[in-house]
Amino acid sequence: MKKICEITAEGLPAIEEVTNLAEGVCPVCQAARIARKAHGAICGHGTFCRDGMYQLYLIPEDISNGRGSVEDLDLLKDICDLIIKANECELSVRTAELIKTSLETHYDEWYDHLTRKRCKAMECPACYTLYIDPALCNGCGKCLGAAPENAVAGGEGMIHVIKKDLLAMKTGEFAAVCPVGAIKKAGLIKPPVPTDPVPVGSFGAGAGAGGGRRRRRG
Amino acid sequence: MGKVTLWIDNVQIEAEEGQSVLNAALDAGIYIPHICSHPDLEPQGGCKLCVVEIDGADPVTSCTTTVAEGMHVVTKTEQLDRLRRGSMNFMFAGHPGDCGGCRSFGNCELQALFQYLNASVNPSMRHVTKKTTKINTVNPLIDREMERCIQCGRCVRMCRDVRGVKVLDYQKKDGETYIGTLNDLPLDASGCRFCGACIEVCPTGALQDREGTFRKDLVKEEALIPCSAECPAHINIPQYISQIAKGDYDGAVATIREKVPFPTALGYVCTSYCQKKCKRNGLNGAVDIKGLKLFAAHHDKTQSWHDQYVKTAPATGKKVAVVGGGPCGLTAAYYLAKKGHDVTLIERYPTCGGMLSYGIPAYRMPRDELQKEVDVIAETGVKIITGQTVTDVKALKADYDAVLVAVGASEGKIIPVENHNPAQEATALDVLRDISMGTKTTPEIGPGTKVLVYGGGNVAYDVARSAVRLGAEVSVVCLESREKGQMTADDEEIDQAAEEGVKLYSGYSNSGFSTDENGKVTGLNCFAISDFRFGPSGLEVDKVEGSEVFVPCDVVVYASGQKTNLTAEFGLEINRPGYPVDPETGKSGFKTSVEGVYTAGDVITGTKSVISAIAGGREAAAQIDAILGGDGNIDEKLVEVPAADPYIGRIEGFAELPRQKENITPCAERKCSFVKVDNNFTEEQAQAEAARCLKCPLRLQIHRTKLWTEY
Repeated sequence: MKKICEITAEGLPAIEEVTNLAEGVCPVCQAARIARKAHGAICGHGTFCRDGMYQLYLIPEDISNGRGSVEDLDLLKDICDLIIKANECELSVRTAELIKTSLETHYDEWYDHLTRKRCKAMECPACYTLYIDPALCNGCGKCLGAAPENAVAGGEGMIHVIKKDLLAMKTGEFAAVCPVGAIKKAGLIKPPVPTDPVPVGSFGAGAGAGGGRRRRRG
Repeated sequence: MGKVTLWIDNVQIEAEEGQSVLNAALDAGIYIPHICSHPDLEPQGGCKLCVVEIDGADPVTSCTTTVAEGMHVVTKTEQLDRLRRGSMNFMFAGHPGDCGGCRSFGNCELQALFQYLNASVNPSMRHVTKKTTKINTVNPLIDREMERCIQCGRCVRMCRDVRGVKVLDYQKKDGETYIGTLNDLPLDASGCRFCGACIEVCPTGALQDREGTFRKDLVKEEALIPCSAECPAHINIPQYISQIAKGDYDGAVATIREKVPFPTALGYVCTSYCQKKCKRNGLNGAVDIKGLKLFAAHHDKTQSWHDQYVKTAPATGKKVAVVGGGPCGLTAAYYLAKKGHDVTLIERYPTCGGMLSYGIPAYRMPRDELQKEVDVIAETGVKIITGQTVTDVKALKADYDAVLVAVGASEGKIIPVENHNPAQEATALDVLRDISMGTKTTPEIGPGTKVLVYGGGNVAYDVARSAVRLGAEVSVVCLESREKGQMTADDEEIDQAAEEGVKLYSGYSNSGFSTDENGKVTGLNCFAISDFRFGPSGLEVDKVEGSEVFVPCDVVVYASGQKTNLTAEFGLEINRPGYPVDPETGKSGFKTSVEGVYTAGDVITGTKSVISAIAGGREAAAQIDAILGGDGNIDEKLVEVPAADPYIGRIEGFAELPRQKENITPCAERKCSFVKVDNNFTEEQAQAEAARCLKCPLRLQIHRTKLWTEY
């Protein structure tokens, strides 16, 4: 079909950035970023690039946030095909091609997000949990104030404990408030942490963990 | 232009060279779905619903593809269906699903397409919620429900390319595309001309006329031009306003004269139903249509319409008598003469004009100007006999093929208020007639007379202001409240009278007159009322306690309704109030109890307005012409006007263009004489006022899109 807009694909990543993912880059998050940025630059005269491209980032963002389903992968590919076919501008077509390529190249990774809640890069909020490393936490209380909905328990001089796994803590600046970098991500296997706040230094490897439990019982 | 032959779905069609495949198909009656295309707009190729396959190649949008000789076009394949469904799904992802609650329900192209494509909403498609839909939702005259907008861009192209107003465009904010104005300015601050073309081309319910702007009981062609629709004679008002705007004042008068023979008189006294419904009321006040009409009539230098106007059809040999020389009778006489009939008009007073001569005072309706308009009618050969009263219509009918009785409602009514004294009272019509004829009123009104006028309409004010000019001290008392807008008198009449010293007691009833020992009325005991109604036992009022006021008076004038002066001796069957009735229907109407005698104007309707009487005269003339063997068609074309230019361009501050004020003779000068009060506009003012017109008829130039069901 004839293009209806002269906008170029300038600013989009090269295909290699999609096929050979850099360390720590999740293909789902990358797709959402690419589509959202491109969508912000289109002229908006065509239905496929204007309304279709919403889907190109809304669907990956949903997957990233745990609201996706396996059927979304076929849907996304179909949408990419439609946008490519509609050929409204270079920008929308290249965006759809990049996302289609990502789906083809990293199909297993996309699929793992949906079936196992697994994000290798631990970028997707639905695929990791946050924890406070008991070995690093100094009980300063900064995270206590930054957490929404009383999600963090703790007190002065106590090792803080994340009690609720909230999306808001993953998308905001929450992790960055810790001055010692104790707020960390964990994937499928979570390291041992106290279930309730314990005094700083009392939760060590091995005995420390047991100590924590014992203390609570007492 | 040459023709090309092509095949669409194996049907051979012929198309204009250079035409798009879409238009060629639609012209040939073959439907291809589309929504961003519109017959009056350049194609955008945005919606992709009109995709077709040509000669087996990849899909193309048919709106942007030109026909070629021998082309084979296929409109339905699986691939095309996928694209169309994709497009619909993308649009619906951001469109509310509450069709039943949308004002465009049943009149929505999107909804129709949804049905045509047998589409279903794909539940896996993510719903798009936009933040930009709340920008500029409230504007004068135009409701924008932008969550319904599918951004097809038809309004943008219409506003930019066809109108040249260029207010609407695609805008971007927070990554969202939306249709809006530059810097999100409200429409009235952006130079919008409020022509409504955007609404006209919107395929969904996103753009809507404000409820109440247009009547819903009329066909669209009439409803969209409220001024002409409201005018009883349906004068092409937008046309003459645009002629005035171009400086073509003769042309403007020709346009007015296509429907009414009294441009000047109406310019002075018309009730202006048109202005009450002018679309500009929703912006910053109606266009002063009446003032512009008077301006055109006064600046009609060459009277280019004249020769054709007075030219009559070949004589039919039929004789028609018109009884009554008011606006209704004169109008009917004119049109009947135009149709070639031999018309005699019989008027009981020394001059024609009816209420225009003997009701409405000279300061409001200069008599010499009226006479000029009557003279033009006489040029058609109408024989005008004045000073003769018809007392027996049957005898008159013996000499004519048809008789039209248009004697109006020329008798006032007197309300028997307690303690009233017949020697001190008169009807408004008697007073106004005496003043117009230059004779003394009975009872006499002169310097120092305390006059109480009972009534709240224009007639009451005509009496009140005339009495002021005779030196009287005047009070107007009426049941209708001015605050509640119940008074029927024009605002400028009430305001100018107040300036001249007329005291107004609006929203007042009374408990009768006070009299002195000789039975002479000294004044009326009034009290304020909070409401009134007419119940089974007559007038009922809600008195405001403690609001009693005594209004002194020597003379009481009743301006509280009029009736006919007909009696049974006239020869027509009449009802109790004196209106002739058609025995077949039992009601007043065109026909009467006497074959060949017809009625029109106020004698049917009761007191109405000059323009209604003229409209009644037109109708009666057409009917009588048909009865006498004519075609009954009194339409007249006096001026050829090229189609209005749709490219109206942007005018900064258009929404604020102020209504021009007519120049009124200063109070001190006007209150002691019958000099004309309304000195109309300067040319500059007239131009400014004409420029305020919203040009409503332009909207009718826009082609209607046909839905698939119509192919």
